[in-house]
Amino acid sequence: MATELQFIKSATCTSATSSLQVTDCFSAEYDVYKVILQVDSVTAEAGTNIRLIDSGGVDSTANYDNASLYMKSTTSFSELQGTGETSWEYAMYNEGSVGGFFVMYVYNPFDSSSFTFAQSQLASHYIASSTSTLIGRKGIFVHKVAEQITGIEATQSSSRLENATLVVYGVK
Amino acid sequence: MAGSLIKIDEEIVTSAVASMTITGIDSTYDVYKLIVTKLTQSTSSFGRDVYMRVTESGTANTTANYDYAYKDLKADASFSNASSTNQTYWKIRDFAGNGNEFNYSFYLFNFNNSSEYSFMTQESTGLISNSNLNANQGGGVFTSTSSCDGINFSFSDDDWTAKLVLYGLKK
Repeated sequence: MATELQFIKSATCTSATSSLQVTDCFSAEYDVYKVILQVDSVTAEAGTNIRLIDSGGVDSTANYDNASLYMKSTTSFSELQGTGETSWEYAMYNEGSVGGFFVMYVYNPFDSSSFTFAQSQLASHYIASSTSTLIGRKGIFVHKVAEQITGIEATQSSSRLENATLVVYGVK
Repeated sequence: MAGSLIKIDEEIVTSAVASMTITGIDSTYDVYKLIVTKLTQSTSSFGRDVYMRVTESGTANTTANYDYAYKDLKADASFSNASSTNQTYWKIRDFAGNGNEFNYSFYLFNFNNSSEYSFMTQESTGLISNSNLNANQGGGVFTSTSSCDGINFSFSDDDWTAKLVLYGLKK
C-alpha cells in the first residue's frame, strides 16, 4: 500500500563543518515537508540555525522570525523570540557525542505567493554548569519572503557540526 | 513501497465559507493525523476565533463537552496560556486578523472508540494581522464516550478557505 510520507533527499556530514545542506528538495509536488535533523556529535557546545535556500543560494537576509519555548530538565523554562533575523536561530542545540534530534514540518516552501512557515520540536542534551541537562523545544517559524524555496541548510557560526544527517520527506 | 501514513480524505475549500468538515475516521486506525494548510481569512475582519469540533455521522457535536489547553507562542510579545473546560468547542485560534494564514498539524486519538474519550494534540504556525508570527501548541479532549468520524472547523465569519488532509497511522 502506498504511503503518504515519502523520502526525498538527505545529506550527511562525518567531519566538522558549519553547513549541512539539502538542496533541490522542495518542489511543486508537495505542500508540506517533514525535515529531521539528527546530530550524533559536535566538537564543542553548539547551536544550529536553519536557513532556506532559494534561486540565489542560501538566503541570509533579515527575514526570519521565530518563537520558541525552551524546556529544560534542570531549571525553569524560557521563551526565545526573534523578528527580522538572518536565520531561524537555535533550531537545534547540542553538546558532546550523545545525540539529539529535531522534527520540523515546513509548509508551502515552493509556493511563490506564500511565506514559508515551519513548526518544530526537538529533544537534545547539553552540560549546564557540569550538570547533564535534557533540553526540549517547541518552536514556530516564518520566512517572510513570498518566493520559491528549494532547499534547507543547517548552519553554525563555527564548524562544530561533526556527525549529523539532515533528511527531507514529502507529505503527500 | 509499504508505509504507515495512509491518506484517508482531502478537502480543498476555495470558496469562502464559515464551516469546513472532513470525515473518514473509523475503526481501521487508533491514531489519525490531520494537516491543515493555508487556513486563511479573505476579508479584513479582526478579532475572529477558530473553533474545532468532533463530528458524529458527519455532523458537528455542539454539546458542552470540550476541554482544551494551549500555549500561545509569539515572536513579538511574551507567550500566554489559554485553557477552558466544558465548552461547546475547542478554540484553536483567537483574535485572528485579516490576511492571516495558519498551518496546523493535529493528532487525533481514539475518535472512533465509543468507550473512550476523543483526544487531540495541535501544533500550528502562522501570522496574525498579516505580520506577527503567533501560533498555538496544545491539546484537547472531548469528554463524551461517543464514536466520532471526523472534524468540523467553524468561524465567526463566512470568509475562510483552507486545504484539509486526513491520514491514518497504520498499526
